Amino acid sequence: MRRSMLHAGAVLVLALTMGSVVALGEPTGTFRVAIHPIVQVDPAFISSDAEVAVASHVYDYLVDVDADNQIVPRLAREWEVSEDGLEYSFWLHEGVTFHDGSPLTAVDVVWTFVRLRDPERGLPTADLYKNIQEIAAVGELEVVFRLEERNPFFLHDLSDNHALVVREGTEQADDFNGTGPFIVDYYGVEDRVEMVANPDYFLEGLPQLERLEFIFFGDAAAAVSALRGGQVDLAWRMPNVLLLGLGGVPGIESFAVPTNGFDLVRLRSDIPPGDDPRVIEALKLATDREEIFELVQLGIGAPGRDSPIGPLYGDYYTEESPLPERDPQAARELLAEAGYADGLTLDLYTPDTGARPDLAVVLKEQWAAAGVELNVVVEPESVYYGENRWMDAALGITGWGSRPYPQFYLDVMLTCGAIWNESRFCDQELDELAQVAGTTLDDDERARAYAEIQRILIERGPVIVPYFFAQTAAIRDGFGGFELKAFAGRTDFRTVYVE
Amino acid sequence: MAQTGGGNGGGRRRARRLAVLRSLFSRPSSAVGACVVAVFLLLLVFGPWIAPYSATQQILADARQGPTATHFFGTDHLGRDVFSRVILGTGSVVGLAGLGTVLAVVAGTLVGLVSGYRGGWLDEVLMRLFDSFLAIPALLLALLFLGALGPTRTGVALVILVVYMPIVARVVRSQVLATKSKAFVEMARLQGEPLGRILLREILPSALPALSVEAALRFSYAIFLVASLGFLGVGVGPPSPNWGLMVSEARNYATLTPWALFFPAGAIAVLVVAVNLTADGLKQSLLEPGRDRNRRGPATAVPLEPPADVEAAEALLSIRGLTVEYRQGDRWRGAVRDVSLDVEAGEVCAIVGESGSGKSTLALALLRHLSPSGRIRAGEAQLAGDDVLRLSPHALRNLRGRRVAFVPQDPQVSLNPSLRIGEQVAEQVRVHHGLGRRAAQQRVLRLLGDVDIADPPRVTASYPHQLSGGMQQRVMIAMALSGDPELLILDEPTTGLDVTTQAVVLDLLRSVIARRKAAALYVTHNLGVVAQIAQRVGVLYAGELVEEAPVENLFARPLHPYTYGLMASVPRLGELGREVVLAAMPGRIPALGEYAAECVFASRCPLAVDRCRAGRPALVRADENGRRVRCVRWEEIREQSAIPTWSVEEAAAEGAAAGGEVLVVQGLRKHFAGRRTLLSRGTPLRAVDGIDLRVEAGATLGLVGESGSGKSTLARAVAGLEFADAGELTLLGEPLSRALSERSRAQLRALQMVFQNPDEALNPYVAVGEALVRPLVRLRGTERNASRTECRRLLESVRLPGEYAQRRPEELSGGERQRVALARAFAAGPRLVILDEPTSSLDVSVQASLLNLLRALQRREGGAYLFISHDLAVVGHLADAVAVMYRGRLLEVGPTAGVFAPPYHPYTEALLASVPLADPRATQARVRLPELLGTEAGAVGCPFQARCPRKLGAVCEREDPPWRVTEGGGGLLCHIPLDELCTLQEPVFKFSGSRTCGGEG
Repeated sequence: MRRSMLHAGAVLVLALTMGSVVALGEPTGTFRVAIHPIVQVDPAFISSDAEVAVASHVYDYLVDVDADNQIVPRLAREWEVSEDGLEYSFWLHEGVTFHDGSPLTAVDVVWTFVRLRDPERGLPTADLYKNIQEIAAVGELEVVFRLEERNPFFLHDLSDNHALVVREGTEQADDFNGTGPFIVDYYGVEDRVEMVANPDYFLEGLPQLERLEFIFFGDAAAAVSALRGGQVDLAWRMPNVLLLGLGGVPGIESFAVPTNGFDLVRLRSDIPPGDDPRVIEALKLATDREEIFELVQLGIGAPGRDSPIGPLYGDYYTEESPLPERDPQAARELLAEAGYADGLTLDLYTPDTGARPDLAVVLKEQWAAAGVELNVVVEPESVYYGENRWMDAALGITGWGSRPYPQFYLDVMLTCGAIWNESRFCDQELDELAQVAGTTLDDDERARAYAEIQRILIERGPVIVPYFFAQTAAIRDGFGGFELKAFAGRTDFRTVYVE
Repeated sequence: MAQTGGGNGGGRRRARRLAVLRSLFSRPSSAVGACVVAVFLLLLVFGPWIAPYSATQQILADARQGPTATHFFGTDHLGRDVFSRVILGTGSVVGLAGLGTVLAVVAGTLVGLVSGYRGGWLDEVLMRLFDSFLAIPALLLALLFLGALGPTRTGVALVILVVYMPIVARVVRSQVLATKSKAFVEMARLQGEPLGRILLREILPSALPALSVEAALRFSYAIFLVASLGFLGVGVGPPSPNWGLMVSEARNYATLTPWALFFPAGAIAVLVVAVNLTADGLKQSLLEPGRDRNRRGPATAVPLEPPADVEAAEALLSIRGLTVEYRQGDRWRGAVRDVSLDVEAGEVCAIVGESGSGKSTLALALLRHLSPSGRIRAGEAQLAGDDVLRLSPHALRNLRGRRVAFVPQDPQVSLNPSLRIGEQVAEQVRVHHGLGRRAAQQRVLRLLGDVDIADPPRVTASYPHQLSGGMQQRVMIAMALSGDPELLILDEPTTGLDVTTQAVVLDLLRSVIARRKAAALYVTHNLGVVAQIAQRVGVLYAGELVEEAPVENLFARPLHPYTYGLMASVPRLGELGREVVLAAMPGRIPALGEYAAECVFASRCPLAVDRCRAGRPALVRADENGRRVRCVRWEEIREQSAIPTWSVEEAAAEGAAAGGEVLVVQGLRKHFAGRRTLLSRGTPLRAVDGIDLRVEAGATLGLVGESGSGKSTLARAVAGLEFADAGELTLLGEPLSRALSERSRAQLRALQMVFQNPDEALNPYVAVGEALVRPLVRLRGTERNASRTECRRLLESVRLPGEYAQRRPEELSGGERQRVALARAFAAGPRLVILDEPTSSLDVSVQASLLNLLRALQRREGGAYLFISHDLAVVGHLADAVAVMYRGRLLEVGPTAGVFAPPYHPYTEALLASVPLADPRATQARVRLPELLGTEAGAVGCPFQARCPRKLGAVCEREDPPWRVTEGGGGLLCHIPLDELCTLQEPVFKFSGSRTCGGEG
């Protein structure tokens, strides 16, 4: 079955339709991006947004993810998946060269993934690609992956942050020799990375910028100041409050997109009081998620619906199951039924990072109306995780990062006996649905399973997801073609141009 | 200080508190601080009613609003009212810090009291522990303990307790150490007061001022600590309105809601500064109350007025109309008024007077060295033609040390402890003579030789602490002589010295002054010294010269009633026996500013008539010898038609308890560990080294000896204040334990003690009546109701008015305090009272009345005294028997008349020969003892052999001398047989009824 097949010129066409003035001309202008200082430059080791942003403009992915979390071609011009879902074939663009002039062939792609999955090297990707049985080069430009088991999310896995293609034989990728749109011409450790447009880039008309500079800033406030002062053109990953402060500043446009990162308020369902479903229902009734979203996240990001499947996942996300209206009185009655007529006192554990203490404080106030008295215990993050409080405490707030696809959360957090099942939730219906979603190759079937799971979690999941974090950025006027991605490091500067 | 007789103790206490408050509010900084603290304390109490919202209420609609009419301080990012949170935060910050501080202060006080009072290993362990605590930063310690205690309110309060308790304990402990050896505490111990009462009632009040200041300071630190813990997120967690936590939360939203950051941060800053200002004010009010008075800058220059009486003079030093004033509040008070005096070259002019007479002020004025609150108002002082009072600063520098030299009372204060003697003297020499190093050194050696220092090179290489007091004073004299001064000013230069050393130094001064032909102004209170050294004497009273005369004339016949009284109040060495009554002038010397426009002595003068009060008498010339006197009736006194006498209240003799021994001491020993070094434990100090002693009922045993002889240790060991190493004590025929705690109530009652320093005799925080009632109730079992009348009776028995019961010690003079201390000792009805130099800090007229009182009390109550003194005249006056102590041993014991007559122990002989007799015409044998460098080791042989002028030879070093029994039941410790001593010795001085050996005379 042919999943996706886009012509090489598609991106270019997109760029043209966006009203670019400098269509096919020479790359012009310099774009300066404020990022955190980077440590790793080898794609296999990068992890922060800053490191990914630098590497993903020096190297190319086989397949990429767009701002809507959809898989799009990059080095692979097109691909095909076998009927049984176990064999993936990719055809590479022709005439792609590394910055040192050597041509890209299928062997380089094979080498890249073999290196990433080699258990001997101890890379984090070894586990991710464990399911790959074999990678083979077919001729100069075709690569075939054979899987052990079906994996409907394999393309997402291939677009993993680390999966930037390096030359065959590369042991340590510390010389910036990629096929990417920009060539590094200056790297000052702890200062900046400067790049020039790759004149031989395989996509005609890209990149549109002549120079791309990543300038290092230790903290977001300094980066924002630099943006206001005109020393940089783009700052990102700033706290919501800083973003809010940029609102109305002339010459600066700010962006926020929801990620799928969220804070999870979870109650252990295997011990009192969470072992009584009425208590779970009562706490959900006592919670006003919109107010939490407004106060704690300043209304930036997205309100949550008690499930880890957020709006980032497009078709998988649904609002068809209604959230109950906040009703502290009803909650109080439910609690009374459950034997807590005189109120319920609980310790709420939370790490001291992010807005979690704020979330705890707002919950305390909201739940107080339902007769639940919270004793907020703020602990250093190292204690909360290091001493296993996040798994042990009856009631806690745990932060979860954004993932490329939702199945991960179900598999590790919400299914019976999952390794990080903080709430000890064990629901046969949900487990079955998760099983379907994790294996079917039918997207519609998966979307339906996810919708059911979202309903179950709203109804009876011992979890409250009050909001999804925002990814933030602000850019100076005079640039076009910028689209912020939820994972900021994957933001694509190839299409950015000077207006 | 309130001088009113009425009122009650509570009122006085209230007045004192008011005074502290007034002082606090007199300074703008501490007044503002105290007001701000008060506002916060009000918020702490009334906050919940004042705050318009709760601390946690979230108003979504108003979130992130700036200050408005509904939200004075705006709202924070969660929509909470900042104003309400800051107000309610007083509970989380001020309340918690206050609670923790109270805990720390209470615990620290208890620990400090017990640790300081108990001492020993407990103190050692606690202090080392606290030291190591204090080495760790408070915040670190707090984090450590908070981790263990948990981030609750109790946890934070306990952390403050743990972190600040050691600091408080140390402050209290140091106060305890300063107080616990004071006389009033030891008296309380002797009266069997329980430990808790001694700690809380006797010692704690003295620590309270320092403790209050420390508590205020700790409070400010605690506020800061609580806020810091909140800020670091380790204290009480959200949503607590702890200001530090609020700052921490608002910090991230500083750009959005700066007000939520500003107000709690401001509250912390304002409160901490305010508490600190208050603490600072408290410190100034409670600990440095004197500073207020002198705060107004140095005395302003006032044109010096010319002297009132201008009389040409050819003397070397010629003082005319000298008036010196001190500032008291806003007024200037004359401390020395219109003094005119001449001193010839080679002449010693003594200035005598009691404390407060202005004699030291006079000396300092001549040096132009007054304290900042003093100024010279009028007069001139010509020194060989130059007016000292009008010299330019440059000329003054040249004058001091070169033309005018000064010898102070206490050489220890004037010598730099870290410089060798040679360097200090050489510096003077170089300054005065501009000599080079080598020449200066030569001159130093010669100077030291001039002051009879036997081994100058050795002394130049010594540090001051390695020299005895006498040697130090010789060095001071050498330094004074280094500039070849024309005028020497000596301020009680021998007062701190032992009598034997004093004699040597007086000899030295006499010969040096004669040799150098310098003029000398010799300030002293000791009439004996005056008689021995001066040619002329000026008697100063209340800043006025009341009489001036050649020394023989003055002693032969005083013309001023005050001089008369002064002479009659001093016990003379010759006058033995209990029949001599000393003149005790009633009243006291008027204080600064109390002078009326009349004769300054009129209020105390038995000859005072209306004429005396009509105006200030003039200083009139009485004869051709330049004798002058300021009394309207001096001619009558000269003619003996008016004789000043002071009536003495004679107590009816109720017949002393007959016979028997009150106290028997056998083989008493107390050694103190020597200075321990790395290699040796040091030689122990044999303070009391095997003493046998008995005190007869109703009689007085005088114990004499130089400083360091162990007489006080002996007294303290008998009293139980020191735990003796060995020996047996018998009190009233029953064994008396060496340990105070093991003595019965009856024994505590029977044995009481009075101490030297009147300033420490009474607890400054306890009214006189209360101090007297305690022993009555506790030891005598008097009913509380009856104790009031009994207390009045006690006061009257020491000749104090009954209403003194309401007074506080600060309202009493030194003599009055000693009387109260005496009354306190007698309250229990003791059979034996140990008197440890009870009069040596008092002026002679006060001493006289106290000695009279002691005798009267003994006659009436029949108690026995163990009377310790360095003053042989006083002992001779009071004691029935005398014991002479030297280096922990008794050298001679016997009835007073026997001890004061041959055969003497050679040491007794030397002591008697060293006493300066208050009679310039008296003849006295001259025996001088050498001063010793270093200590004598004296485990075997005669303890006195190293200084003994009659030393036989090696036998004295090798063998313990035998105890030779003398007539009258006495004895002495000497290798020389008694009959041989008899042939060797003449009576040191002659007096009526004096005996030679064999009993004839």
